[in-house]
Amino acid sequence: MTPLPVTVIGGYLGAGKTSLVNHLLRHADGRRLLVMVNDFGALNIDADLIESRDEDTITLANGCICCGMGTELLYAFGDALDRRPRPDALIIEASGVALPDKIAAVAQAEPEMRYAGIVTLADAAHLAALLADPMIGTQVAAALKTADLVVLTKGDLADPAAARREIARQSAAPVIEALHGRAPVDLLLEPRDDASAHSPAAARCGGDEVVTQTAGPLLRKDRQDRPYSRQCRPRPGAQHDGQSDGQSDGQSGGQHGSPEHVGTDHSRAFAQWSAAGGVVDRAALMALLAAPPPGLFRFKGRLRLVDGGALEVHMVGGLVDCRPLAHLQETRAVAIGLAPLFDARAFERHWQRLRAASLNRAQP
Amino acid sequence: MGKTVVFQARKILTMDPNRPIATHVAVRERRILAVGGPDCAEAWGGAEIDTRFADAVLMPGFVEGHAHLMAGGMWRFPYVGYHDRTDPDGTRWPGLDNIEEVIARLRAADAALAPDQPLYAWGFDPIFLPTERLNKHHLDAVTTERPVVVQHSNFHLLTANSAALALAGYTRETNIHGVAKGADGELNGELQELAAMFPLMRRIGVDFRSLASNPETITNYGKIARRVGVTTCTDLHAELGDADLAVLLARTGAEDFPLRLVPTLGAALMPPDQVAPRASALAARSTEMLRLGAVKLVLDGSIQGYTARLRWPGHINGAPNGLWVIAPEAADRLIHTLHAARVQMHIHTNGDEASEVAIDAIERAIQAHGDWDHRHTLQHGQMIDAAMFRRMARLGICANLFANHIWYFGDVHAAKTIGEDRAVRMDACRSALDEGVRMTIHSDAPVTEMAPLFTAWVAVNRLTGSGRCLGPAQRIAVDEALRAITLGAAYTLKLDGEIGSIETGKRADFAVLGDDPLAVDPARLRDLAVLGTVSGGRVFLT
Repeated sequence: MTPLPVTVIGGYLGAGKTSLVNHLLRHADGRRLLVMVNDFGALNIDADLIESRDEDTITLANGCICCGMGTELLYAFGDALDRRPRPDALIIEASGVALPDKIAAVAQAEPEMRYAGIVTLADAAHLAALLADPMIGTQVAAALKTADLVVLTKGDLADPAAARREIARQSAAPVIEALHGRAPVDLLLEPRDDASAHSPAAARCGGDEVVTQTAGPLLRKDRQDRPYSRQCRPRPGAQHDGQSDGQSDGQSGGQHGSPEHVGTDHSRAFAQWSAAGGVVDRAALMALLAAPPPGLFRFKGRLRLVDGGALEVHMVGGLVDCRPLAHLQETRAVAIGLAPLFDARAFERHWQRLRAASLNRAQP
Repeated sequence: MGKTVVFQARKILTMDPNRPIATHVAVRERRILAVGGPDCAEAWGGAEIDTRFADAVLMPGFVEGHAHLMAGGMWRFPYVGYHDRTDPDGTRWPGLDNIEEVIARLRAADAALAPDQPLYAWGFDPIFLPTERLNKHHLDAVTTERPVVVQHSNFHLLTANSAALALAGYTRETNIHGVAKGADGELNGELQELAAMFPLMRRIGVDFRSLASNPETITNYGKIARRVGVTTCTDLHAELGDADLAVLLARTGAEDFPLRLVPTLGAALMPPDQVAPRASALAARSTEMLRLGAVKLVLDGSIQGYTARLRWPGHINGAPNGLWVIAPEAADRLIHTLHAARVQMHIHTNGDEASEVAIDAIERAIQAHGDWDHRHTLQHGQMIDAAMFRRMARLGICANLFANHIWYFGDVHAAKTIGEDRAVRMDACRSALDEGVRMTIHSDAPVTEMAPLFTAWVAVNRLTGSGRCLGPAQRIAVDEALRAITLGAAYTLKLDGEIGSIETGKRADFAVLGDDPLAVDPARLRDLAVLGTVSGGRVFLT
């Protein structure tokens, strides 16, 4: 059976986890999500989206299911795996002091699950005080440190730049800003199975499609399909290189891939690249993912290999999950990167070199 | 009017100051009608005398204020621990102090198991085995035909054989935190922490949750309790869904079931705003033998696991402070809400910082919503000092101290966790009593074996596993310890009006003892024979 991708949402009380869950449920984009939350009662789902609800489960018209943990976490994982039909993805909302990596570790260990990332929310208004709190500071810091992506919330109530500096002291994870939980779903979850179907070789940056040099028909994607890109508050200065931000600490200086570089405007928050067709060389691909290009956040590929086999590969935040496939019609790959660091055109060039390496190996 | 029976005993320790000692107790309609001599029931029309206990000593049935129903579920699996344990049917399983003995017991269990069943064993504790650490090769020597899984006593680790590792899909190439490897890069069989254990536990089908709703588990819990003189026992963190509740009601209502069960609802298992309504709904379902309505909260972890929340100066080995299971401010809100709804709380606090957070929260809740006879109880409370006990006494907060820790982990605490200065005042029974705190002591079974006389022995002697007395100033007298395991525990469960002493009107619940605990050498209190119990006038001898 298809492995169940698991995303863990961390962050202290009031950081906006519930808002993010609400947002995910509204923008599941065809995915049948199973969302397990701590406080079922705190969810505020529009009545017209709800198909049915009972004491501890809400079924949405879009196929998503939201339920309370209702039991110890491990049993909740077991229940999620036993659910039929199996959901497309499992989202776990961790408690305010939980260590998200301990939860996500289950997804790494369990063969029927797949690690799909830790997203930790941080409240710009309260983060500094929380980190300094002798009682809960270490647990708040741990949730940041283990995150693959930090979503900075309430940037309208406080200075996001100061909060970004606090985060950079705790975590190497990239940071994006989002108000009211409106973070881009494509960053939080694995790409959908058909995410690469729109174009054999097209790279999109936000709403702007970027045509790469690979031949093939192109399908234009309408930028209106990303409603959150209009709901998020653009951060001044986000349109150009984050170096102008004035961050001064030595924490990120000299590192490429500094988290400071990513803006709030989701039309610029991430870029997507996809490709179809061809065969790849496993070793060359692993080498690429082991030293990923700047800004590459997720990679998903169902790939035909040069030696005749096939492979499903997922990468998030530097963690690679690689499993053989019995058979595969056609290679498809998607990469999601954080703007402006991620350069879809450059990634396309990496991909072409990868395929060229395969061809060389196939025809020695 | 029901039949009256007078039980004759060599001696009856009543815990009732009006008549501390007696020889006869008259029972009618499951309750105590009269206490005194052979003629105690004369005024009530007389009665037949039951002489079964003529050579025995009766006490009020013991009350275990902190244990878990899971203790009754573990015995379907073989026990391979270092300490002796008695199973529900009375078989004493000697502690195993070397790996060869562990293998031998597993081989015997393997031979008795159906071919398609995994072999799961529990209670193993490597810190007590000085030899080589248990690994997959030892367990492959048991069998390679079926998965073999040895759960360590703390439930955070297990050791698996090759067949079990294969079942979980773990190989030499596996690179997952908690899947341990030897120096040769091969899996050594040890799986650390829940994540690494999850795939295997799921595939061998060991689910402790299902144990709780199993009638056999409840029956075994009753048997365990009966053997150690317990007539009222908690299950201190229960899900209590409708299906579980139906099984619990049916089983505890059976005429052959010897135990009054007090399950407390795990607050973390539901949204905060649903806890109080659910607790109230459960309270309305209470019966004589199943008492519902109280709630359990867990604030921190364990001291020996370095996950308890400690105040300054923290851990003696420099380990970082422990982990909150619930954020202090969320705990504060929940305590506030539950206190306002008049729901009694049992609050797990091992470290002193966690205890202080709980006391602060209860104090604020009382200021906001008034004092009522709440009897909120700090469970474990192992590092509560005299000043905190004074606050607790003023606020009406009870303590259920983990006395057994002194014997099981006292040496470890002095040497490795909190150091000598605080270890000598751990589980400070003397301070609690001196400061006027209502207190009891517990086993936390299955973490340690349920046996109130053993727990009393620890509180009286404070001997550690190595035989030293850890904190003599915190020892309590035998009569104080006996009160703690009867009326003391009953008070924390709000049952002191019904049980905990032998006096007219209370439930006819007795522990039947082979000797007088006040007469034996206090150093031998733990060896005192328990012959069985009387529960609601029904005799359950072992």
